[in-house]
Amino acid sequence: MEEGKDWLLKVEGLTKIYGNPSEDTVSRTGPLFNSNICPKTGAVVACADINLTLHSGEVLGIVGESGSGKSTLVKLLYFDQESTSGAAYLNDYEDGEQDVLKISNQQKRHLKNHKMGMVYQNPRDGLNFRFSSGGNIAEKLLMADNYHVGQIREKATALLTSTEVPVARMDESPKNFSGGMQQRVQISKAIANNPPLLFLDEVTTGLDVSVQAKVLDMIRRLQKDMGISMIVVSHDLSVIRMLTDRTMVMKNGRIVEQGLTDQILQDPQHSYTQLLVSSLL
Amino acid sequence: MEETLIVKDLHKFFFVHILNDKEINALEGLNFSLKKGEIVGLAGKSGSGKSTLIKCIYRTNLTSSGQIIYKSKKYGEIDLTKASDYQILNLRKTEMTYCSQFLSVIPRVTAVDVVAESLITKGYNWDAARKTSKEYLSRLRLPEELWDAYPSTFSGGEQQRINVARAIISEPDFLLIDEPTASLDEKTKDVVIDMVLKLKEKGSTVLCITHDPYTMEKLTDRSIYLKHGKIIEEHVASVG
Repeated sequence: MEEGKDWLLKVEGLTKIYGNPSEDTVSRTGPLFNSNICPKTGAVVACADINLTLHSGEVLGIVGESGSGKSTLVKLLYFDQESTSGAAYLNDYEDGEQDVLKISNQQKRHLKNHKMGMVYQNPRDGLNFRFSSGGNIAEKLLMADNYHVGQIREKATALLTSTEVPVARMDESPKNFSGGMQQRVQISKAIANNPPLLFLDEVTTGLDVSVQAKVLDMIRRLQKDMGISMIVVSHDLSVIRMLTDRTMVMKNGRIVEQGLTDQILQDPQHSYTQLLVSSLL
Repeated sequence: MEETLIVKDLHKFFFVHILNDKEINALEGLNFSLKKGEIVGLAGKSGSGKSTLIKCIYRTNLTSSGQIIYKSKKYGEIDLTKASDYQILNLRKTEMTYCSQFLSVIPRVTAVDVVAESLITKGYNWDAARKTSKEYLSRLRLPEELWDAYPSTFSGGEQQRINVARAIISEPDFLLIDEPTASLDEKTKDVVIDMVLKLKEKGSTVLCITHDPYTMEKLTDRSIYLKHGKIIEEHVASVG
């Protein structure tokens, strides 16, 4: 297959299990059993045997019900949690030959600060409410080795402008902001280091629809302008339809179906995907 | 002339789990081919499988069995039923375009930009893309006051023109087009037919679903008739 060096991220056999797994924990859980709890030991399989390839500039959607393991997956890749087994490779890290899940914490931090961004569902997870909005962005820029105060201020202003946060309020803490504005500050922070790879975890969940639309439009524009590769996690098929080229469907910690987003929506194969698509309003 | 597309023994059935595993046979053993630079019409009653076929070629539908061999610039001969998602995405970006019957676009993007975006993916900058987009909208006689409005609020005919403009503007090598003239007035119909014929002059291959005898006659070189998911007739259009 002609794929060449065009890939950005490769994930192989990624697995996360909570509790004490037995040898057949993985084989006795999953969509076939409609459960992710091991009947023997009670270990919880958050996700198992996940393989994926993300290409440069591509947007991959992950859809599934609550508890299907989709958030766990991106948290493992962003090093928020440690995987039980599996490997992940980044093309522009050590020529794509080093499993980044096995590097030291310091190296992980460096990789995160320079090559990745993450936007969480809850702005509190991605922002420090004791800092101002500008300060939050400055923190990310400092970690990515930008030390010139004037330039930091300039960059923060540009980022907040592009995400439509009033620059006049950049010295205020995001805790005073509305949910939609907090989310836009969080996005500014996540993309401050120009990451080639951005994770978005349920970023519009809980926002009212007009604000949701604004945040989605903005993400779409940033993606087109900057060509960032993204993994978009959402339980909302409209978000997936609007943002992604390809989609993976997860259930009970496994990928049950993957394909082009229009194919998943119009010709879904797995019974769970058919149910999901037919539930679309 | 060499063939651009060869379809061999194509079958498509839908297996609907949520309707007690109901099986629907949509296409049953299709065989046909398209030559490079040819415009072929696809006709048949509603439900005969025309759109299903076009979607199988474009991979919006997964094919159940059979082959769809496409001669690609990028990959050479490639079976579209087996190509990777990544390869299909690349083909869609650079050489294969599908124009659906109904406009489905990202909300809150203006008419000009919806059309211009097809050129952005081809590497144009926004200024140049918007300029060309406006030329197309003007040729398709879309009232100028609508150019900066959102297409979701447009009438059926207006939406269709946006849809056609956005498919044709990037001059794809292979165009799949579903009912391009269905809700258009005579004059605009001629503009659309003319635009597709210009594509053909540049060497594009076109597969076009149409119910309209006028479009069929003016536009296509020959036609294929489907009934209950099977080809029942193939016609060569009269020369003239």
